[in-house]
Amino acid sequence: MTADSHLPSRDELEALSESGFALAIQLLSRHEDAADVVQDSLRKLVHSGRYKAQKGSPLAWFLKVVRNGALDTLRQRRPNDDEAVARLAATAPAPDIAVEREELAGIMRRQLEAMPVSQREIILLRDFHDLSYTEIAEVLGIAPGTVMSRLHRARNELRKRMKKYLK
Amino acid sequence: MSDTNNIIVVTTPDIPGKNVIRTLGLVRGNTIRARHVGKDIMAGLRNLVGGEVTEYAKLLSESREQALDRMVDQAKELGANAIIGLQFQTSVIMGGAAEMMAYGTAVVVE
Amino acid sequence: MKHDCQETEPLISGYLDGELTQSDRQRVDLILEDCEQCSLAFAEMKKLRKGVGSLSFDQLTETEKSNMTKNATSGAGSNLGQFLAITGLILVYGVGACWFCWEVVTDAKFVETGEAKHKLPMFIRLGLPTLTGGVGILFFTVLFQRLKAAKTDKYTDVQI
Repeated sequence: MTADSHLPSRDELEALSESGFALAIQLLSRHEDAADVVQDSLRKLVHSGRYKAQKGSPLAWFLKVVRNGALDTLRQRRPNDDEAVARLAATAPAPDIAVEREELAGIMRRQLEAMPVSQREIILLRDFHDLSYTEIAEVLGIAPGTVMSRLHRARNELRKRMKKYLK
Repeated sequence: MSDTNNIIVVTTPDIPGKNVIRTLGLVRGNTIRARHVGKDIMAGLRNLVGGEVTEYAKLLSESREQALDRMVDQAKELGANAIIGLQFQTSVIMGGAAEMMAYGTAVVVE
Repeated sequence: MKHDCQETEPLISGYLDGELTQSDRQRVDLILEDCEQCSLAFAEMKKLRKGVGSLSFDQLTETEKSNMTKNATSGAGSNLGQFLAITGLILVYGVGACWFCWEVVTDAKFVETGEAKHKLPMFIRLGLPTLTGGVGILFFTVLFQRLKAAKTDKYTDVQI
């Protein structure tokens, strides 16, 4: 019922919240929605008392919770919301990110946002969050053997979209 | 959530940029929800200290979403692709519960 | 080395991530030396990987982070409190009602008034336990319905 004695430390929580927020914002685009999801996930982590008892990597478990929360939020967004979010994502980026807008990174970010969530998330989990295939399988809830082919398909999709910029 | 992906729901009498080509009539959804007694006790205690009663705020949100979903389901059955003139309505039937009705006019727009 | 470029591509992806078996890795090493198409795929994927890895995204502010960690650990008490309160209610009302009915049915002495012990009228001695029993059954029906519905209730995670 109450929090387990194996409470994660403040530093561990803050580190997890950073990674979790990165994933959440990659899926949701909106700062506040992502922050809410991370807050909920942190609370679940603390109250479940499963932190130290993880046989896998605690980061992978936490990202799984964050991902599920983010997908729930996506499902609850009404179609009018989606249009508004897409418009938001396409316009005014944060000031410090604006500089890279004309460079490859900015184009890549836009292409990633245009891709379906399932492909976007696996590429980011591998190349941004540096998770191993087994960890990715845990986060997505799929069989470890299928990670390589799924990841490859997603990468191919990104390759197709970035073809003209890769020369 | 039910897939409201195809239905536009607005509170205005029309949707700018789209024309109403057919009106299908009134659609509505309602629900009454309550939270368990532990939450009720907490809400009662907030009366002593003040501030937002988050238990009941969440309760209202749950009722709102469920009423909306039921209304949209009814509109889908009629074959609508939009609902205009959405309104919310509450009634008092029991204490510690949130009653919510959502109603609007189901239409076909293009 | 004869190979189907389409088939080898997923392996190249795995090679890039260092997730191949020893034998597969050696295979890909050889293929990359010979096949131009596969080498191109490898180079492009490598560039993309670097690009994605160096993307910067919106981040939590310091205050947000510290507030979040504070809030995460603070709610534990309310769950315990609710649990205790509900247990207390079940004890007082549930077990208490059973005890009360038992006393009424066996017509214990606690209903004494004045000097003479008045017997409770029959309709109360029978009616009260029946009422309590009925309400008890209804309570459990409602409870089980709620527990079943809670599994498929899609509104529990609704944001305020």
